[in-house]
Amino acid sequence: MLKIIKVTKTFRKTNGEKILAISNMNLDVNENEFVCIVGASGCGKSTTLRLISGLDVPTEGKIVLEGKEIDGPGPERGVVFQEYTLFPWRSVLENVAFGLEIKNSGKRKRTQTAIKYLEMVGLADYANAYPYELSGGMQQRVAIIRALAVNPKILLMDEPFGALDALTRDFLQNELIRIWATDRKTILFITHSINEAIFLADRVVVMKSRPGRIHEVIEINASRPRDKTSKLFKDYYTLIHSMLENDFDKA
Amino acid sequence: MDKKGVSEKIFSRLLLPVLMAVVWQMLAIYIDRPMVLPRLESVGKVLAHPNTKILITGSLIDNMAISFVRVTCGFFLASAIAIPLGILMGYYRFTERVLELTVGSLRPIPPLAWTPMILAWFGIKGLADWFPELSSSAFFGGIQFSMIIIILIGAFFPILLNTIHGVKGIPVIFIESARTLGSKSFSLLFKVIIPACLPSILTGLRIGMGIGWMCLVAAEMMPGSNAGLGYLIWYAYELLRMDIIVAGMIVIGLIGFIMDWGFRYVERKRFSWVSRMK
Repeated sequence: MLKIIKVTKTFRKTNGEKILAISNMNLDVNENEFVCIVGASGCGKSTTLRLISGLDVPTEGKIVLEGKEIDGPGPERGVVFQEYTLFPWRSVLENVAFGLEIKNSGKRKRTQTAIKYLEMVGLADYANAYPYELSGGMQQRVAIIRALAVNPKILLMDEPFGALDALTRDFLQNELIRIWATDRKTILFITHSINEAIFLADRVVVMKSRPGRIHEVIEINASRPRDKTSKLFKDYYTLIHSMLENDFDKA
Repeated sequence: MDKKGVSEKIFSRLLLPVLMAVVWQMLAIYIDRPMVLPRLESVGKVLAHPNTKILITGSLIDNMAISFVRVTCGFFLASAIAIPLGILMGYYRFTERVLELTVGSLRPIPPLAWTPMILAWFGIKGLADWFPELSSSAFFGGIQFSMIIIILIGAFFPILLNTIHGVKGIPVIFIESARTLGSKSFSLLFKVIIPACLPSILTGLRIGMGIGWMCLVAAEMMPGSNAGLGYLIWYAYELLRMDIIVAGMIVIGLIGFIMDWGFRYVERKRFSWVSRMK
């Protein structure tokens, strides 16, 4: 459903020097698929996500979602960032309803939808709280359902659990799998954690840096919920880690 | 909170004013010249009878009300220009480039320095010149354009600068996540940019109101002025009524304090998220 076709992205540094962030990238993401992109810092994985979200424009090539070339940001591609992005002047409920408000759906309807999603992640009691009253993990859960509430075709996630502690992270990974199982969205998830990628994804895209490019795409053939201590899991880890070893050293 | 805590708070708030009053009264008795330093009771008498007609300029209350209307007019005009302009300058590099030099070099000019030029332009023309039926009204009849403009200039720059600062301070990530949720131009402006910089705008309004109020006396000294607290003070000076001067000063100070307190109250109640943002 999502096609990245021969995409190249170059940035110009302030001193005029050109940087090749992504070089000739091709990737297909299928409907309902959970794809993780893993790589070291600077491999262009976040740039890829920004290009798909429409916040940046490719230098060459194009990105197509269900036959339509991407041209700027839009609500059919929900984005969850690593930073806390809930609007601090809005209550949790108003945050979740934000996208629907932009779509001009009626107040009652958007409140109902927001409550439904808040219930899904167990935060209905916090509907009238403000973001600063929530823990980091709760804020990210709200950010996820804020993106889901407008019913996007694909959910793009840029290291959404990167700023959280290990326990919260584990918990949210399970949450995300559960949400994905109920909502059946296509998800493209960026992470630098190999473990996270193997735990979540149907397919792991391994990216390498200088220039940023796809090195390998690995299908994870393991039933969910996945056991991070199993032999299979560790084998996948060793495989991906060996591909990235040099890159992590450089980063 | 228990009773002791409350009385302690009141005590610590009032300690200094009471001390100052005592020292003042002692000095006033010692100097014994009401034209130099009036006694508390004579100032108190002026304040205690705000409805009595003082001199020919009306009562203390009348003059307060007139001054208040003038400051409010200047303040609202300043806000109406400074807030939209500040948002444009903060959001579009182009607008900022075009206006930066002009605004930056007009800003350091004290509002008072504008007086001669403003008088040359507007003289003592006021609302009553356009709407003769207003000339009998104490409130609107006494409003000269020149006064409003002096107050406007004083209030304008703090509002403008704080608005620009507020818009520039909005984390890009808020704007980007709003755009990914489908927000564009208008909704981005009204649902993200303005709410996000509202606390900054409010700070600007608070400072602008304070400076506007400070420009009042200057404005009311202008030719054609025949009422207002500033005028009252100068008029009382000519009659050597130091008690009225001091009473007028106290009223100006207290009104300024109350308005500032009002703004800070709104800040605390509506924008508590600002101080808690991580």
